[in-house]
Amino acid sequence: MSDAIVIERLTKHYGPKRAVDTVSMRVPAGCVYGFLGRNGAGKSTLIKMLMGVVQPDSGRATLLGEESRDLMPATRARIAYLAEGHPLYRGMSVGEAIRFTRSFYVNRPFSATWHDRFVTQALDHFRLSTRAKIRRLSNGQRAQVSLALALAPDPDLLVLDDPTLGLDTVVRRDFLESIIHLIQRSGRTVFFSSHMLGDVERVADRIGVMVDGVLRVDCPTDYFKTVLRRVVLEFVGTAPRFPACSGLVSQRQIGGRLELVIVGYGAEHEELAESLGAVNTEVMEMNLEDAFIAYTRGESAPLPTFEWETAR
Amino acid sequence: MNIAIARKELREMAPLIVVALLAQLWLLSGAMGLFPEWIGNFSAGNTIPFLNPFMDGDIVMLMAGVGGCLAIALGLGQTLWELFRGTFPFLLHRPLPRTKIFATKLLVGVGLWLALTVLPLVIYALWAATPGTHASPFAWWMTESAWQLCLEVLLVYLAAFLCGLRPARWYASRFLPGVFAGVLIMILLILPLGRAWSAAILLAACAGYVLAILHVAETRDYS
Repeated sequence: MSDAIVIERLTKHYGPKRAVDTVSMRVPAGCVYGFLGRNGAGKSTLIKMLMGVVQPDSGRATLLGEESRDLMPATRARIAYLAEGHPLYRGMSVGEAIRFTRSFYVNRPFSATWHDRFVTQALDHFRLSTRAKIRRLSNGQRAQVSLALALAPDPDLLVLDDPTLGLDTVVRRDFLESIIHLIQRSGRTVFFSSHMLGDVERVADRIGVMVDGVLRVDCPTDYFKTVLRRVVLEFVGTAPRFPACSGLVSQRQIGGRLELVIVGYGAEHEELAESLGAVNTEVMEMNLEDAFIAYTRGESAPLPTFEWETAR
Repeated sequence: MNIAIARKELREMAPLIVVALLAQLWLLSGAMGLFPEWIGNFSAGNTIPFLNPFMDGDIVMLMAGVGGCLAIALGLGQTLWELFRGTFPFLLHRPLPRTKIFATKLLVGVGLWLALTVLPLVIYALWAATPGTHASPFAWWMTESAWQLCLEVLLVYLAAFLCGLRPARWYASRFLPGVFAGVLIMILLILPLGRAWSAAILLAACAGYVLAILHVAETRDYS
């Protein structure tokens, strides 16, 4: 299977801050890739570099086999990009925005398609009038117009930068289901960033997790969930620190309890736990949200035990 | 040139265009004595058209001034407006070379410069050259300084465009291209260069600004 996106050692600095740090990854064609990370982790910067909106300091990326900096119009026509916040010209009506966008795809010297019928169906589905002014639409409705415009050229690759950001729970769910419904075409690749773990879990075949500009995870979604384990060790008295070892993602001391998040928990970790004198060991599976938090929270100070005193 | 982008630009800049058009029409009509004196008859005195555009209240200077204000507002509007609304990622993702997108924006600006700065002065010059329209002498060489003013307005437009497009951390450095254009115009006013040399320098500066704009457009980050 060929790769729709190939990223090689992509790096970007903003002043002294390294926003994206030598990220390399491949997204196979036909894959739905969920790109996760906390605010400021570098997700949007990486997506902007992919789309040529931001220039990388070093490294390169190819989309559908072409260098992202110099995408030919014909290749660009095969890529849909929903930028963060769904920027559209607010002075236009929905119909004008459609005509404006359509003009770039119809009667062009390169081969490009535009499905008027799809746009009509999408607007009907979202109950949007072509006469509605973009500036009067809610965030959710603007997201829907953006989605209709992005999908009308029947793209092979969709790049969505936090498409559900700013939408309320119901609109977000509807919007995501629309995406799932509308993008179901074989061979279409979807690369989307999100904060919403539930959204990603429902949709993504594969996930990547960015932490402080570094790609810490790049694997199938199911594998990520199965390989991570929360291990709770109980001690008599204060819990000691767990020694550094392979697979240890994070540890938290809460009084006599030591909570560990470990990738590929096995015999090596069991031996270390025994050597510390743990009186009880509990190994639990993690859902995607817990796994994501464990990966992205970083090292935290031991949690204090709160002692309640009754004032008399 | 992309028609859809050109239409969008004209539509977004419509309020500015209307204001500038009304101002130029008012000045032009007044200069040609079409209004009663109390509304604004600029030829009511004994002014000689195009004799000295740098005299206070001269119609040519006023028309160039309107063109200059439009140039600044247009140059900044075509760039900062897109940046502030965050619409550049949407526009730049259209399947069109980036150079063509920005060249279209510039062509719209140049077209408006021709229509709202050069054309009113051409009409005024043609009126002044028509015998019997006013009681003062006229020769075409008298219009040379007006055309130089037009070129300066074009330079101001391009400088304003570059000011808006160029990434800058604070406002003083943002306006550096404008300061450079202003200094160049002042130097050309002071130095005793011939009209041909001044025009050549202004055209060269305009070409330099266009190249700088296309370079910045291609290399800057739109985040």
